Amino acid sequence: MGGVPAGGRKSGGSVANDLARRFLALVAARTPVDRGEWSQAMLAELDQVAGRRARWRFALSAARAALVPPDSGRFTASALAAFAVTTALAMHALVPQTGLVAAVAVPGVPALCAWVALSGSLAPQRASAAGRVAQGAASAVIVACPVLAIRLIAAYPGRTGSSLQDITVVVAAIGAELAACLLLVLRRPGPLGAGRHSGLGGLAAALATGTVFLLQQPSGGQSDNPVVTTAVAATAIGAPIAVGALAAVLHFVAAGGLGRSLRSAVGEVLWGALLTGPAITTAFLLTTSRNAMAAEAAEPAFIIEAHQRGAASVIAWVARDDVGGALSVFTALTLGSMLIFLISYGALRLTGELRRAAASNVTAESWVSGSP
Amino acid sequence: MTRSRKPSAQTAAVLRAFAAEPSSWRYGYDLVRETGLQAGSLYPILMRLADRGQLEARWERSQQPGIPARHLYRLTAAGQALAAEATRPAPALGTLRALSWPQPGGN
Repeated sequence: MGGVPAGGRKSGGSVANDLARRFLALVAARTPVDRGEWSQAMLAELDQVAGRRARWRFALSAARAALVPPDSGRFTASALAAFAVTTALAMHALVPQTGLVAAVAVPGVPALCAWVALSGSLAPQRASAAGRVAQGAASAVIVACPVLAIRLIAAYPGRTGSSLQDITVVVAAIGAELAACLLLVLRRPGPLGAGRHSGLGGLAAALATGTVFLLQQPSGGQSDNPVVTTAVAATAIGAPIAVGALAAVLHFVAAGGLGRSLRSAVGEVLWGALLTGPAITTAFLLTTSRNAMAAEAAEPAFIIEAHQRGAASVIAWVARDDVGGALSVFTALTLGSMLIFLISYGALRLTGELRRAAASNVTAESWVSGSP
Repeated sequence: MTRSRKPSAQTAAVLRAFAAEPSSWRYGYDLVRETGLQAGSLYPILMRLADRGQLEARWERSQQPGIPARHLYRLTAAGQALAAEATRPAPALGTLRALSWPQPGGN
């Protein structure tokens, strides 16, 4: 099949440029490179569809085919989905204090982001003026949500009478942040796209997250046991750093195996970490805060005492209730990130090997038939 | 070794649509309307057929500026052979039952 004509990528004034088309164009930009012209074909056919409902139905259906075309990422998606579901179930069963939303969000969000980042095209994407505004808004949401989470938790003792309202805000904040993360993974801002700066950004985000944990722990933790305090502090600062650092290493390894440019692959992975690291932390902070609010009736003095320690109260609360649980959660963040990228890398590597093997099948058969 | 597997019902529907006019180039949206399949089902089928050399595709540039080029599809000779195989009438159900299952009261 030939290349995509230049006209296929244009959307001139005579082409309906409604939301359905914008949506499909956004998704089409993330189609794997070897299937790129198919997504352009779908986009061109959308222009033939009349009626808003029919256009959206076509766009949504075509988006599925564009994002997960046959033999191109389906195995990766299945492996990541299996990992996310298994981890969520195990986390909810082993550490129920974190709540169901956190159990789903902690493995689910990075898995989704990793899949989108790794299965998509690495081609540079140009954003329109509206796209840049959307990217800026999404970036602002991502920055604002952790700040909101910390403020909510720190201010909680003075707002004991408005638990229900707080929960609504919490749920809205989680939804906004996750949506913003997905938007930015689908459409990366140019300055933070694949490259050295995105890697540095990811590392900076991880360091900042860990530092916030330490600064919000004025007396070294809730426990009087120095070993426990040290372990909790170490895991608190270590986990978010590991999210960025380990992702960088794994992206580095993946870059060589996948035949991509090393620099772009490292940047791609670290950009994923930049998005998912704060998202994981925020989801955990917010959902644990919700659990703490629900537990207030049972032991209000303990909850208020814990929340007086600000963001660190999440760690202190879990640690006082169950040190093993606290360590499990923060270790899970690290191991989860490692596993997600290892699975993604392994799946893509395996898919690539299978394709190469299929391509060389004819040559191999010729060689075998020609041998004595 | 060539894999020979019966096409799915959806793939057979697409092949039937092509087989109705074997020499004609077809648009994707026309196939959507003709087969009743969603785009998310149709395009993966077209991709697989193209990967296997059973479908050829070309771009049709628009005469009007600003209108994107459209993809056109047509079965290759191998695709037409597959379509003939897929559209061949199946044996009657009663015949299959008689061949596969012992009759009640039989020995």
